[in-house]
Amino acid sequence: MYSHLFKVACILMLGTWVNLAADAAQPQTAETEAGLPLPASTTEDTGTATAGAPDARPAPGVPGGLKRLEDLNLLSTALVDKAGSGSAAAHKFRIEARMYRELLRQTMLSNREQPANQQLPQPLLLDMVRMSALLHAAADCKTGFIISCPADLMQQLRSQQDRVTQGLKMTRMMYD
Amino acid sequence: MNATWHQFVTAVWQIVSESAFWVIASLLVGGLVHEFLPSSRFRALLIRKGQVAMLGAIAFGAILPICSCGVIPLAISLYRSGVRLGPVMAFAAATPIINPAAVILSLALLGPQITIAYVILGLVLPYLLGLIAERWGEPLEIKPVAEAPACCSGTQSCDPAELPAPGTRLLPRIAAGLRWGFTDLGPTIAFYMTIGVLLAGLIAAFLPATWVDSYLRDSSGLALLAAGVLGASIYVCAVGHIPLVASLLATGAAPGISIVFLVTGTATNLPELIALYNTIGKRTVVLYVSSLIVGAILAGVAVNAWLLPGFEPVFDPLRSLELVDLGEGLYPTTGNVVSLVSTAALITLAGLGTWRWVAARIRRRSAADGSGDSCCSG
Repeated sequence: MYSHLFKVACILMLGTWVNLAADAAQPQTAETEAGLPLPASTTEDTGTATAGAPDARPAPGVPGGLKRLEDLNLLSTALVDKAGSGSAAAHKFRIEARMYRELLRQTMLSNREQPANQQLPQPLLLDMVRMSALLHAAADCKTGFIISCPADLMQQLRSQQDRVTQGLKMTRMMYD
Repeated sequence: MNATWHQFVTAVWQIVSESAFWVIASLLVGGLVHEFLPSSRFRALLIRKGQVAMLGAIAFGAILPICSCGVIPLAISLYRSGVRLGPVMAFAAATPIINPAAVILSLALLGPQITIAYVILGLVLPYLLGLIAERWGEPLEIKPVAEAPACCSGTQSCDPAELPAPGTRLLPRIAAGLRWGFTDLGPTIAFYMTIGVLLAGLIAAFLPATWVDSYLRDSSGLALLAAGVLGASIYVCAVGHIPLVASLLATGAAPGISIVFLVTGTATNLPELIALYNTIGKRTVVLYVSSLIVGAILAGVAVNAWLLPGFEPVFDPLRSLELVDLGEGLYPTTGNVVSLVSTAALITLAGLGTWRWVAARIRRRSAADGSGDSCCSG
């Protein structure tokens, strides 16, 4: 019980931190637009510090939240696999699906603050909102203490996951 | 083959565990309704001919967040408490189709146009079904429980004069209502639901997982019919399936098909239909299902004509996420322990119902052989 509360608290703190980090990055972005060199610290603020790693630095035109969405996509891929395994613990799955949603919300909130040419494509975000709703529906499909999704929901989870992955690849290609 | 049977067992367990809490809660409320409604002032309102009872039943059903299995005990309790067939069937249809959580989720994920169509259909179709049931359905008749009337259960007398009269004290009446709900109605419904759940499990196991993908992307009349019939046979919960339909819509599924699938899927399923078939009446249920499918298909054609070609649901993603949160918050989910306890209670009731059914068969056969006697024969 307490470990669950701790996890939820961690998720909320992580979300808040991500939001603060995005706000902190805002003036730097403005500076970048003003012609100043882009510091490595503005590489996406996922908490997995990649400062100083040249390959992790986004191209000048890449929207700020793209890296974060790609990280979220890894999370949803893992969740879809878990849902299909038939042995995922229901309470953990629910927490992780919730984490996906909260991080997506934070990304969208910080994305809204970006200039128009730096914003993430709306169809991609909508696809991720749908993914979040499907993950929540999967979290409700529990037989006892494990997640067990019906075949039609599993099929849609996989299709939606493919769509999101494809959308992210297209967006990355568009800006790279 | 093993995988198919594993799917069958999983599907059966899933339907039972998903609906168990609502069936038990509905039995509890249904028992109280059966005990208190006949002597309350609302009964006069509900048995009176006219539109008030029908509209009231739809409005009440539209705010209850119960899926189609959960609504059966409540609908049958209302019917057995003397409420007219029209309002009962309108209530049975409106409750699973539409509820605040489903409407908000639909607005969040399917867009305002489909939500408008969904709400209009969710209110109008139950009304029409109620009118049809009232006009052509079977007249009110109290049917025996699982072919083994309560008086034959060995715990109660056959003589109506010896049945407990409704008292004026609250606690004994609550106890009597709960006893009726859980020892008379409960086993009957659980028995018929078991047959329906097993059939629904077979369909879920043998139907290819890609059928939703293949049928819901088409917009032809045949696809509308297939979505209607398949939606009516499988277990669909509005709140759980709206994200699935949203995902299909985003990739080009016809909006009319989505409406047909959502409405027929939520308003009917095999456990519900078999329970109603055996307790309310065969003709009523056949009329109910056929009218529902035809009405939903006509609505699907109209929605396609309205929104196609070129329909594309467009929203603000952040707003959409907020609405999804709100919608899911309005739909109560049960914890693991509550769900398991309810499932165990429902399985017990099903076992009791099956035992009564078998005992009634044996007793009847014995009576036919002249070696037994039925307490109800006279």
